[in-house]
Amino acid sequence: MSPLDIERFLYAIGEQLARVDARYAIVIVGGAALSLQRVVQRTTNDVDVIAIADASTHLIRRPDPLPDVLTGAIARVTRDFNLRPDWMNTVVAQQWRAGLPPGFGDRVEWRTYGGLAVGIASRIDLIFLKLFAVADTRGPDTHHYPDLIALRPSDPELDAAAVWVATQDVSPAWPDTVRKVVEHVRAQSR
Amino acid sequence: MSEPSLASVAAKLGSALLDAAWAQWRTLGMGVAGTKQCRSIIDPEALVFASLWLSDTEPRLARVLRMWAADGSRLLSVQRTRNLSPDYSASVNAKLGGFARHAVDKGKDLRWKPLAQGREPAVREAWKVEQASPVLAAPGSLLLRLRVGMGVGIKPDVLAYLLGSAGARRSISAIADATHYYTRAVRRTVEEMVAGRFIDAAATAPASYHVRLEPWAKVLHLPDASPVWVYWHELFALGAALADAASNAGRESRYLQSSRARDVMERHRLAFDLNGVPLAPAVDHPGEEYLVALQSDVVELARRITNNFL
Repeated sequence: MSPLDIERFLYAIGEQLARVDARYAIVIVGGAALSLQRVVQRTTNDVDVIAIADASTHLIRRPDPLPDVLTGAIARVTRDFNLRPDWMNTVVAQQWRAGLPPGFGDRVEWRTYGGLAVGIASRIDLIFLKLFAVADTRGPDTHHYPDLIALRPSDPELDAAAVWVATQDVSPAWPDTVRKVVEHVRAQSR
Repeated sequence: MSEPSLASVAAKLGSALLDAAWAQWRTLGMGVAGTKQCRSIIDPEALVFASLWLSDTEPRLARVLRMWAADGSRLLSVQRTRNLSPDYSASVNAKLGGFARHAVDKGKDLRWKPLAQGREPAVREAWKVEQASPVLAAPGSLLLRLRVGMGVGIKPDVLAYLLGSAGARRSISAIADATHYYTRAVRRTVEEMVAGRFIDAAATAPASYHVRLEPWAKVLHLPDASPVWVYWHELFALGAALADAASNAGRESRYLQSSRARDVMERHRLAFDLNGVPLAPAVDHPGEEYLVALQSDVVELARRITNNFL
């Protein structure tokens, strides 16, 4: 999905919701969020929904399960555009178990697509989550790594992200892994 | 050419089906002006539903329905009418109550009484009562002729379907799908007709059944080109569903119209498949592009209705 495709499909969901006088708000991260923020131009296979929010207050909460009406609208768009069944999924919402970066919900940038409000995680939160994703996978041969580089994190931002990422895993080797990734990113960014 | 809308697609099919309905009533001698007749086998219950649907835009059909309720209702199957009714909207079924009431009151056909209760009248009472006797001479009225001769029930409908299949073998499920009776009842009926040597069975898997055309054509005085079975119910139900969807869509975006169109086609694609008209795969036409593909398919369907089925 290109950035234009993503916007087209999100708007289609919003139209389906508006048709039945429904309004929902979701928060997305990952490649779709990076695309919508114009951080990267690559295509992405899915839209990662990390949270659902109150349509009026934008107070976020865990998204699983998604409300039936929203699920129905997503299913119709999936059918109408012949998309993969899991093109919009909440797998990434497992992050709620270990916790989101502090203040995550306050920094979300909101856009409106008909009856669907889409919150895009802020750049700093995407740095946090991407650093975690890179450290949690083996080596730099992953799309998370170029995504993190594309976010052009500053040294203070990497330091802050590293402090948070270090709390995400209790294994003894984890802090060293995070440190090595941060060093690698710094070296790459220079 | 402007981009198609759901309304324009529905109107295209609706226009062809309106012509078909008039041609069928004309064939049945219901005092309809014009010359176009129906060469294929008329499905009388489907014609009633179609006329109830189309009477909103064509009030003259209400007059014909009223005459048919009084003079032709005895040739209709109430059970089959019930079986077809779920494929039409609540508003069409509400009008069926008026038709049934007229069949009871003017046609003295008490079989319709259960359907006549609590429904709105189909036509304005101020209209003059007219009479017309069904004419069953034309080949298109074959099913009704068989009902006159054999009584209203599954047997004449099965025989009409097999005759309209030009001697081709048909399975029980195909016969049940075409006639819209329950499969178990069709199986029992078909077995009786085989025992009575009205139709022949073939030891295929699944078992299939057919008629020998030549002797039946002599008995029934059918023309060389005997009338074919067209799945009129599926066509009329598709037309009504598209019209409903277009009405509900109002001024919605073309994407939402296309989404509604997909809903309709998921339920009614048999109108194309059973009548041998190709239908473009919806998955090949994402989003609003589907309206363009569907319009093309509907234009071809309308052409077949006008040129081949009438």
